Amino acid sequence: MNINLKVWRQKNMNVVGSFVNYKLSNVNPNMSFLEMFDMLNEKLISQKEDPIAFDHDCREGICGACSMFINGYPHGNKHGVTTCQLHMREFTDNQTIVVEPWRAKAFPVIKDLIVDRSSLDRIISSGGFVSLNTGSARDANEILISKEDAEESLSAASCIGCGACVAACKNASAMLFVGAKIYQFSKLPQGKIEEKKRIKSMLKQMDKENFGHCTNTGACSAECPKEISLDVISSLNKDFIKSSF
Amino acid sequence: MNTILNYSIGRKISLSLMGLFLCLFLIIHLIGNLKLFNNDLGLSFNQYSDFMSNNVFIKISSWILYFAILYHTIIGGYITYNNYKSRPIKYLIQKKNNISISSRNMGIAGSIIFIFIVVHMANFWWKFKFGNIPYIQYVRDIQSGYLASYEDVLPVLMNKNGHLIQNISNNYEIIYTYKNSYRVVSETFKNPFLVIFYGASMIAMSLHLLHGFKSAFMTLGLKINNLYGHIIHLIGWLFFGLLIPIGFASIPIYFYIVNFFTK
Amino acid sequence: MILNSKIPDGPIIHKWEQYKSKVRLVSPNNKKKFEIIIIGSGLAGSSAAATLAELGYNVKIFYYQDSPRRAHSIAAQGGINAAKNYQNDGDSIYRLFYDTIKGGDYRSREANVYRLAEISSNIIDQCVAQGIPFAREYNGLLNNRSFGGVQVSRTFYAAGQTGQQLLLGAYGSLMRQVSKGKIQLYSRHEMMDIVIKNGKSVGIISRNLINGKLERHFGHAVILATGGYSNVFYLSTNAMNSNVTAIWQAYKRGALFANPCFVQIHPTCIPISGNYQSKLTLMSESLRNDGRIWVPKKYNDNRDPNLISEDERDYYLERRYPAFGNLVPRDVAARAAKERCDAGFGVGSSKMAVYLDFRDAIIKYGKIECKINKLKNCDHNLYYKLGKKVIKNKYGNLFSMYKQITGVDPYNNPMMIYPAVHYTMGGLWIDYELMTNIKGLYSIGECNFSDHGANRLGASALMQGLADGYFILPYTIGSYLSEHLNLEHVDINDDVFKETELDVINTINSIINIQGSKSVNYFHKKLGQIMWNKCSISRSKEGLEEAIKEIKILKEDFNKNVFVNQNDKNLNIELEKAMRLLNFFDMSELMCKDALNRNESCGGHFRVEYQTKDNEPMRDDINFSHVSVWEYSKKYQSHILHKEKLSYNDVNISQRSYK
Repeated sequence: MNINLKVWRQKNMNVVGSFVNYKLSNVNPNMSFLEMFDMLNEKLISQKEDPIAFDHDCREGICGACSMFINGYPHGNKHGVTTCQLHMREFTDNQTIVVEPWRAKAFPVIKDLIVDRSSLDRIISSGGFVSLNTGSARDANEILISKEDAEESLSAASCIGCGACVAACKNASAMLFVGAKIYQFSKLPQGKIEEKKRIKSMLKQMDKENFGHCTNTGACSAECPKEISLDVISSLNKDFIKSSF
Repeated sequence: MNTILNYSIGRKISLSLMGLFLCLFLIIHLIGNLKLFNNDLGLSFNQYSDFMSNNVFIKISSWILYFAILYHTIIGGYITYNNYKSRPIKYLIQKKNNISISSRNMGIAGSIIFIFIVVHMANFWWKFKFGNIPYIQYVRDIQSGYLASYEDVLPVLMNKNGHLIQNISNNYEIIYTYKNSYRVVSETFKNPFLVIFYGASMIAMSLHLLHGFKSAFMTLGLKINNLYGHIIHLIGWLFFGLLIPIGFASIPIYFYIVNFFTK
Repeated sequence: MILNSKIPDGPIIHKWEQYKSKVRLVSPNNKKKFEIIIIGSGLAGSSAAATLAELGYNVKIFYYQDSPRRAHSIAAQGGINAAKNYQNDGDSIYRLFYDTIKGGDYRSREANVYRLAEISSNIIDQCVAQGIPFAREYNGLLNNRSFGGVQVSRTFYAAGQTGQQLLLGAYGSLMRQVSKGKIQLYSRHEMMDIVIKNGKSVGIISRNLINGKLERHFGHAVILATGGYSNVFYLSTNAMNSNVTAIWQAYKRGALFANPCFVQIHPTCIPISGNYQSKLTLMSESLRNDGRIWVPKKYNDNRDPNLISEDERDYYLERRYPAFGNLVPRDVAARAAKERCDAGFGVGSSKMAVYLDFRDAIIKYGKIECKINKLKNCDHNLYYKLGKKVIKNKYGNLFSMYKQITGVDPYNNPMMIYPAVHYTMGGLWIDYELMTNIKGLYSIGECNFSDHGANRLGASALMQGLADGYFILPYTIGSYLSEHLNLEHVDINDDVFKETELDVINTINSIINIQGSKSVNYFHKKLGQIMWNKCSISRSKEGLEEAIKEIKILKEDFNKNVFVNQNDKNLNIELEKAMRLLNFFDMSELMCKDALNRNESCGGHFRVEYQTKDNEPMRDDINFSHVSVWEYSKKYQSHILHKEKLSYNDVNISQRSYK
């Protein structure tokens, strides 16, 4: 199949970028989206041009590195997958595909399609953990957790930190990301102890990082490659109110 | 309280509380306004409007209401501006995967509603309060219950409440003499542009509430994916998205049509 | 060279306990004075960084990803072993120890493995307390499942994302110390070289990938936690950017490399679909519980698999290994698949795949469901419908992943699978304290030669990474640092830093000045093909010798014809890849050398010359019960072999048989 690409190119953080058009022929429908980019990069290298920089690592949908905004959707218009798991068979012959980096004030573009997502790290650093020193734990089975709670906790903990929620949200809000982390711990007795402090400090950091306000549009959850429920945000709101009184 | 407002969630919560208060007001306001449809020459509406402008409790509530409107507008405006700023470079294409028009345009719909409120208050609140409104006198045949009114009467022989209560004869009673708010409404909606503006504003309100009502509950911690969530969603959709805006919009349309045919 | 593995005296069950009580400690006040550099943020690196910082050391952690949470430990699916015996099925520290030694085909170090088994319990305690949502029973207790090669259920898991959850736990602890200022993060930084002064490691040269700047960092100790080198094969289940640079540079500066040829090939991966393929995806080992593996009996049979009748199918694992059938260990299954494909019985467009068929399992479960629900009028279609539901409950996510990648529905067609490189058991040589032969240089996790011998058991990699990071290194590092309380801060303007940095600059310049015409991937793919064909599932003397020659030629070609953009002041991905590939060339050569040198078949290492009449591996305990330890000779630019003798006092050595 043949593909027309319109890709955001930006040399570094300090210059203004623009879209560049590329044509690619003989694309195999079984290729993953990133393999199609590999192919394009090979072509660019053979013409001694600068290949397109994009984040990727595990290519099995779990590390959360890949981050392309494809034809108006983060990770493309396919439910529950990351860019690396998107395949060219989802596109039609001669289709024009627009590829942009995640766009948010909190995610400045580093180069081409690579953005700086360290703001998410700083949010976790402000409280997304159980304060526990190595070696001080009790026997694992002394803490009982119901199967349902463990499963719900895991469903929130499966967040891969890719930032698609922020990219999808019209307000560039990180509430789903923050909500998921807080929800994971709120379902477990280990996490309950520091809950108030955790909520306050993570939210404070979130605001500091210039993410927008959540307006409950649900775009984040709809685009989340791990299909994290919008309920984690409601739950965070509730816990915030509780922790304020 | 001050500390809560330092958080983006805190501001949102205050916004949603004010929003829900305004929703409550809408219900009361609509119930009152539906008296316009009573076939009693405007008596019950004028009675209601008289009550509203004299009751102390209502007066206090109205100040709270003005505050809520201003607060909701200012904080809402701030949040919208802030959200706009949080994505300095927009996407070339951004698809709206299943995300409703209403939730995407809260700011726009809200702004229209605010403009509407200003116009609406200038049209009615201002006129009622400071305008020169004619009085109307209602007379009822005691035996048949037949109601008649005499417009543009002068307010004479009033009691301390400003109401004239006097039997004309054994067969008739003058019930009350009121400021004729009903007529103000009826006159105002002769203007077709205003009617269109009111209709459009109610569409904006419907959009605003379709998302706003449900979203307010989510902001207060309601999970949307369970039974309660579905109920709230349904209420929001049926009442605040549909019935209440239609109820309000029907008033100017009704008066416009009635005036049109009775010309 | 004397290889002092520093294994403490005494009976194996007391060694670690005694070591811990005797090891010299660093007082809390002094800990604050030390700076420690950690390379890699996976399970081993993150857990070590967090624990060392908790103890009071100042830590700098370097990783090429944008966040520590993206290290490839995150992709581990199955679970983590621990000898908790929660299931009351007879598990014990000794049994875990024994299984690991046996699974590793008697090529691992006894004392290290025992310590690993001992610590396994603590890891689970630690991880649960961190808030990792492990799978639970209805009564709220932890759930376990069983894994290949063992007879007990000792694997703890969090759905199919155990590695992710464990890594996020360690990442949380790491980020907590970041907020306390004890850890400094260096994201998008790649270690380029290690700085050694007077035989001690004193720091590193790193490259900031965003602006291309080389940076000098001092550390009293340097800890390498950079994972394995499976990407030598280009196609592997490792992350795209996983590389060997850090340990290879350490090797070139004098650290020893142990057992480089021990590579684990995982039998059930999604096969290669075309030459554009960049990465292989694993399908969990658990699928072999229900799936039957087969190829057509007819040579070069191109028919639709559903049209091939029962008696035309060759269930070769069941045929060759009636006792274990489809559940033979990873290395055995991988070899058998390759044998069939090489013989021309492979399936799929590339002919390099075998079928993993769930048809019989679906029908079997369907019949059981019919019986349980006492249904009448059961026919084939109903069996299929009910059975499909059961299979969906068990493996639903794997089936949908398969469909997502291949576009084929595995409920109606058999899956196609083929082995792929998965893990490297070899790595830097370390002593009992996890220190390499260079003082102050440690190697933890997959990048040391570790505890897995010649073959790693499922769910043991996570265990080892966390054991090293949480519970071993934080103790053993005191032994070195306590002797170096007065170790002076080596200034980063010291000559030794300047010289090392110059070496890196020269390497970079030599690459970007080639200005040839071929991409880095072109060479990497070729290298992968050489290694896959000649140094993977089965190896022969001729093949390995050829490979060494071909690698040399390929490397020369690379040095003449690679094209890398000269723009090294900005992010330059081609340059990163070229630097990594340069080290992969050398690494692959050493792997072939080591494979050539090991004249036996054991675990993942199978030399065709050393097999029994019915194609089973032949281990040689008399001549090869040792760790092959390689030293790089800078003078002659060659590799020198040393041997660390392996002795087994606490297990009986036996031959593995799965017939």
